[in-house]
Parts: sequence; structure tokens; C-alpha cells
Amino acid sequence: MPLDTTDFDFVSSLVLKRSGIVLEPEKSYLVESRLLPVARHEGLSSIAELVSRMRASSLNGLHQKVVEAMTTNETSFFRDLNPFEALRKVVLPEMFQRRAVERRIQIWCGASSTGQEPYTIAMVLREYFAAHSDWRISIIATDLSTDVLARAREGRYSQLEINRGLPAPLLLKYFQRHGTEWKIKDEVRKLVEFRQLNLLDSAWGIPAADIVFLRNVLIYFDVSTKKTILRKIRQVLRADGCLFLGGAETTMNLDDSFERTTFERAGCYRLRKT
Amino acid sequence: MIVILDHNAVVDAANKLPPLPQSAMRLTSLLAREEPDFREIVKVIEYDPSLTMKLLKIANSAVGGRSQRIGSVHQALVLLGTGTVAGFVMGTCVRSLIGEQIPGYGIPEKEFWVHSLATAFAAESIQAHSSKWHGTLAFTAGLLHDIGKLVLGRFLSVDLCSWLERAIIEGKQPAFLAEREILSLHHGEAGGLIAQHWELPDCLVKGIIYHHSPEDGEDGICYVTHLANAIAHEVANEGSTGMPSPSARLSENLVAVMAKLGLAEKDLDYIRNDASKGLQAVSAQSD
Repeated sequence: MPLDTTDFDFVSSLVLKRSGIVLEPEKSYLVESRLLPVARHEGLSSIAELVSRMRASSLNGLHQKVVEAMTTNETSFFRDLNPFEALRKVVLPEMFQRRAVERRIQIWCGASSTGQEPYTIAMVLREYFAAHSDWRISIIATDLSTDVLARAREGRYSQLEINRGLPAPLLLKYFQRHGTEWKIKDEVRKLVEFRQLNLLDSAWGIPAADIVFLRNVLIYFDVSTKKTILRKIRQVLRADGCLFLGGAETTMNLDDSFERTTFERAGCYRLRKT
Repeated sequence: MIVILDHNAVVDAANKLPPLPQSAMRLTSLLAREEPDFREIVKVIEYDPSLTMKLLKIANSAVGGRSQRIGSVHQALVLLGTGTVAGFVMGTCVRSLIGEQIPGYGIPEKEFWVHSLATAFAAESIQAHSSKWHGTLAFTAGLLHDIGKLVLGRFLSVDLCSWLERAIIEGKQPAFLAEREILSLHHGEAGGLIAQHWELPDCLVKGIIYHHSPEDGEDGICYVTHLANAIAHEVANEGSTGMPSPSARLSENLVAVMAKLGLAEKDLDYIRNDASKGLQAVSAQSD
């Protein structure tokens, strides 16, 4: 049964409030496709019943499940490739020079979903910067969803997920076969620390970072939320740090403190010098 | 995590398809080499009498109208080319897997097969006209580009089909993007799983996975299957309307793809013609 307008409004305002994600009315089919499985999982026959349960009580955990179901978890290893080429060829070599005294680099990967992006960064480090293995390099990966974080921590991927961008030599080197799935080896897994974080929270608790990946996230937010998030990134990013956004994202007209630099056809953003 | 489609179940379904005969696997792996050994290819086919019989039957259909019949594998390879023969071999193996219609997609078997063949003939012609070399497997890649529908279709419930349809219409997007949005998986990816299960060469796996998004595939064969698929759809439309599709209707995207493949605009008519002729020859014999 098609989603009632008032139910759609209820869900879209909940999702906007909890995650900042904007759901346009023409995406009602998407809401239906994501929420009917949740309703059925709860033993309910329709989304209308699900919404009615949510209206009745906010303490039954359904609100969080609905928000998580509506959060797009699309990700892949080496997604768009260019940012990782920029990281390997320009950003990391530069950072290793700049931090030669403290020998410490902090990377934050926001909205990391099931972990492919932070593990890609970890593989780039293992593969090309093995000489710096005695440095203190920390990758913190965060996401809103408890479920995807659990999967990310486990580091198990289906053949389908492997096919999305992981080069065969890296598969053989850094993964072990487990039945029909592939599990990332501990040497890579232990480089990444996963934490739960809602980007709308007032305090992020993320340590100052040299490199920030927050790709294909801003596109889902309205302008005011984008501005708030960029302002908070400014507080996390070190003065000479580097921010990677998605190909369709920009700081332009949102936050003038950033300036864009292009490396290896990837746009990355640095804080303007004051 | 509550999911609309269990991706592991799709992977399992792909892995449970019957394996390909050794001869077909050996043949594609020989053709994936930079310089395939012609004599070895003949030996692989001749070693399998049932395959040889089927091949000669199809080869004679494809060159229908010639006064002289094709009587040997060697002759079939010389007349049709190794790439086309490998495609026919693959076709004989795959056609038995298709039932009366592709479940979920509701495509009748004949329609699916005609589109696959038209794509294969177009791919072979693109390879022949292209100023760049994309290997000997263009025909096979074209033939198998939609193979993922065989597996993915089994998972398309009434609800899923209805959401996919709305995602295309209300979301104003092509079918494969609708699949990606609703299922977080598209039929090209499902086809890639089958190709891996059959241990097909990497270029075929890529040509199948990325036939709708060749820019992600980093391999020329992906552009070949992409363009061939578009031309095959046009050829099918011509068949149903009797009207040729003018070159002017080619989208900007396809013009860019043609440039990437080193094709000139005039080549397009030859490719359309080759796809049409190949299809007519095969259909005339099989009707």
C-alpha cells in the first residue's frame, strides 16, 4: 500500500532531525522500500502500523532502526580512485615530511559505513608507506549506525563488495577467504578504530586530525546542516591538514575558510592561511 | 542489519549455477591471451564432439545462404573468426540455463536471447571497426552482458518489482541505477559474480559488470559492451517499428564512448548493419 502523506512527513522529519538527511516527497518509493522490511521484521504488516507504533512511543527503539534503514550505506574500496591517488602521491608524503619530528599522523574517516574507505586508507599506508610503520598512525572511522559499525569492525566482505574496486593483488595480500566471504587480515584491521558518531551531535569527541575524509555525506544535508558540519570540521582539522569531500561536494558558498586544491584530479580542501 | 535483498543469497545463487564445461573455460582462457594459439583452439573444440556438432550447426546458421557448408572446426574458425566461435560455444552452454522467461524481469527467453545475440554481433563489429584493440572476447562479452538477470531476477518479488518500476519513473533514472538505489546491487554486478564462478577471464568479468557504467571499469571492453548494448536496443526497436534509428539520435554520452573506442560516426551505420544482419541470419535458421 502506498505511503500516506502524513506518515511520509512523520518519517522525513524524524530522519531530518536525527541524521540531517533530507528526503524529498518524490522519494516516497525509497522510503517504502527501506521501511517495509523493518515493519515486517517487527512483525507488522505495513509501514502505517510501524509509524503508528513510533507515534505511540519513542522508547521502543524503532526510531533508531528507521533512521538507520534510511541512511544510505553505499561505499566501496578505492571509491572514485582519484582521492586515494592524491593521498598516496601527494598528501601523505607531504604529511610525513611535516610531521617528521612528532612522527604521528591522525586520520579521521567520517560516515565510514561498512568500513571499505578506512580499510582502503589503511591498505594504502601498508602498501606504500611501510617504511613509516614505526610512526604512530591512527585512523578513526565513525558512523551513525550501530549495525554497519558492527560489520565494519568484523571486516568481512562478500565477493560482491570485493568486486567493487578492490584490485586483485591487494585482495590476495590483505584478505583471507572465509567460505564465500573475504576477511581483512588483522594487520590492516588493527590500524582502524571504529566509533559511533552522529554528525549532528554537538560534541564529536574526535581528536585533532591531519587528514579528514568525509565523502558523499554533505550531499544528503540541507544548507544549514552543511554549514554547521563544515564549521565543526574546521575545529577538528589541523591548520595544515587536508579535507577530502565527494566529487559532487564543495565548500564554496558554504564556508569561505576552506580553499580547494586539486591533486591527481581529486579535489581536496585546506584551511586558508589567516 | 535489516536488508531488502540479502546479497549473500545472491552470491550463493550465482555460485550454485552449474559449472561451464571444461572446453568452454579452456577456450575463453586461451582467447584472453594476447596472441591466442589457433591450433590449440581447434584442438580444444574438436576434443569435445558434442560441442563440435553444436558449433558446426550454429556456424552454418550464421553464414546461411552460402553454397558451401562449413564442415570443420578449422573452417568455422577461419570464416567466423575465433572471437565469434568462442561466443557461440559460450552461447550453447548458457542457453540451456534459461527457462521460458527471465524471472522477475518477465523477459521471454527468445527476446533475451535475441538482445544478447544482437549485442554480441554489435560488440564484434565495434571491435572490427575500432582503431583500438580490446582483445578477442568482445563477442562473448556482448553475449553474456545481461547474464546477471538470470540470477538477480529470481530475487525480484512483486514488492521489489513495483519499487524498481517506481524508482525508474518517479526517480527519473535508468533501470540499472534504480536497481542500485533499491537493491544496492545491479544486474551487471550479479553477472560479474556468475562470470567469476565460471572462472572466465578478468576482461569478461569487467565487460559484464560495467556494461552500464564503463567509466568505472578501467578497461576498453566495458565501453565495447556499453555501446553494443545501446546499439542492440536500437536494432531491436527497428525490428519492431520497421524504422531505422537515425544516427542523430545518438546521445552525447554515446558519442563520447565512440570517441574513446576510436570510432568515427560513419562506423555506427556499419555496426548497426552488422548487428542486424548477424541477427537475421541466426534467426532465419532457428525459426
